[in-house]
Amino acid sequence: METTQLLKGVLDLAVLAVLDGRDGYGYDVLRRLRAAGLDDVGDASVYGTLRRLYSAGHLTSYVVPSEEGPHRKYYSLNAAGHDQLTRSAKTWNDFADTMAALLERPEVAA
Amino acid sequence: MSASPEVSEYAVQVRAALADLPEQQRLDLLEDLEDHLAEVVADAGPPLEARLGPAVDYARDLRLAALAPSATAPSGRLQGAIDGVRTDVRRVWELDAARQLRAFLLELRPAWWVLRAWLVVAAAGLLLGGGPLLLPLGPVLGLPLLIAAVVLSVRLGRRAATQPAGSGTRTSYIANTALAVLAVVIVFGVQQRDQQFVYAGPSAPYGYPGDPRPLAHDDGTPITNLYPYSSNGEPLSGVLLYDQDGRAVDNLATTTNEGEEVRPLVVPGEPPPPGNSYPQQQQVLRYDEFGGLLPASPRPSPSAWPSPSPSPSAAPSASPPTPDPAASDPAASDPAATDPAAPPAPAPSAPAPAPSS
Repeated sequence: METTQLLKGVLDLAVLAVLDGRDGYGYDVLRRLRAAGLDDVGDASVYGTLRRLYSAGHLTSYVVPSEEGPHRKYYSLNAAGHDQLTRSAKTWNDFADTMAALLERPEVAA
Repeated sequence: MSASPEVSEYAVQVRAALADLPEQQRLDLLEDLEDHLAEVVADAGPPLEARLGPAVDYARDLRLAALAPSATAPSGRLQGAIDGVRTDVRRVWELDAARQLRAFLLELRPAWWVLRAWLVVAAAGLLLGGGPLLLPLGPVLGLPLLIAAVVLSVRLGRRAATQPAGSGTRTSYIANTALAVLAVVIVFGVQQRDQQFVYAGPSAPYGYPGDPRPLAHDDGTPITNLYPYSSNGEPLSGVLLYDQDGRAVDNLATTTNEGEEVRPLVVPGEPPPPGNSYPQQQQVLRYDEFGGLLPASPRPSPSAWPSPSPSPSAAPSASPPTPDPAASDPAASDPAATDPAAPPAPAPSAPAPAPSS
């Protein structure tokens, strides 16, 4: 099973999780995801997810002016976003436990 | 902040690939694209396209990520998936059936163009009254009119077909519906009109069909008595008349052309003559100017007999004689002595000039 397949289902969660720790702008979020181990995540996917979460009201945004480079639009988790993160995280954990039990392999269960 | 040409170029291609999205959605989505791409470029590395892939692919991934069903689906993913499938199926089915129906109706459209042209001409024909149903207003006026109407209708139809849907569509819907209603009206109207023709038959001289018809001339003048003459010009009396089947001819009119009533004259003490004995002895009821009944007088036999000419219109205009109260002789004619009851069976053939024509 391709990671990309799995990723499609949880990219929302991953992005929310990344922003939970610290606000970030588009490319920044992408780098952090890659650094966390999700090498295959696509730039377009991250950017699209960010825009969608923003449209859905889970994120707020603000622009930070910068002298040497482009102005950056930072995204930040708002209250709704935090709720969504909590719920999705729970769903994911339950799902992961279920799958681990299904596979009955001790080394899989985290 | 100005984007580098590379970024602008790439962004333009991405935008182009997403041109089919609703305008607002596209704006929301691509709002920060250039800034984002600039970030990618700022992070030194291979050129944009090498890093991000072709713009169209980027656009595709972007579309997928941006339009994915929201993670805020209330119930579990499974339920959401089922709902999604159900919606999709329904949408496809509706789309398909609707599309097929629409395709079929489109095929019929030219026929409708012809029909509505005929409808308009038929409506005119119904109002102005004339011509058969299929060719209203008759061949001379109706045919060129019909052809012109069909041409115009087809022109209008084809123009409407090539135009994109706009404000004119509403008007044309209304106009076409009105024509369809007109069709129903016309059908009923024509039925009515044709029925009228059935009921209005030629009017009989005595008014109502089905009534017994007394003897009358072609012009409608009632015949209240018949005066037979021999070929020598002698007035005959007591002549019995029968038709081709041996039936007695006795249905004289009982009202003259002036509206006076004619009654058989009964001589007291004598049996009444048979109804088909001619000339009949009659009495015409006449009134004076005050409404008083004039003394009854038997109608005299014509003293001046007409020359026996074959044309019926010639002499009889001289008779009937003007009523002259001077008594005339009923004795000139005598009630038939022969037996009135039984018409001599083949007798109608005996009188040589049998008027069977």
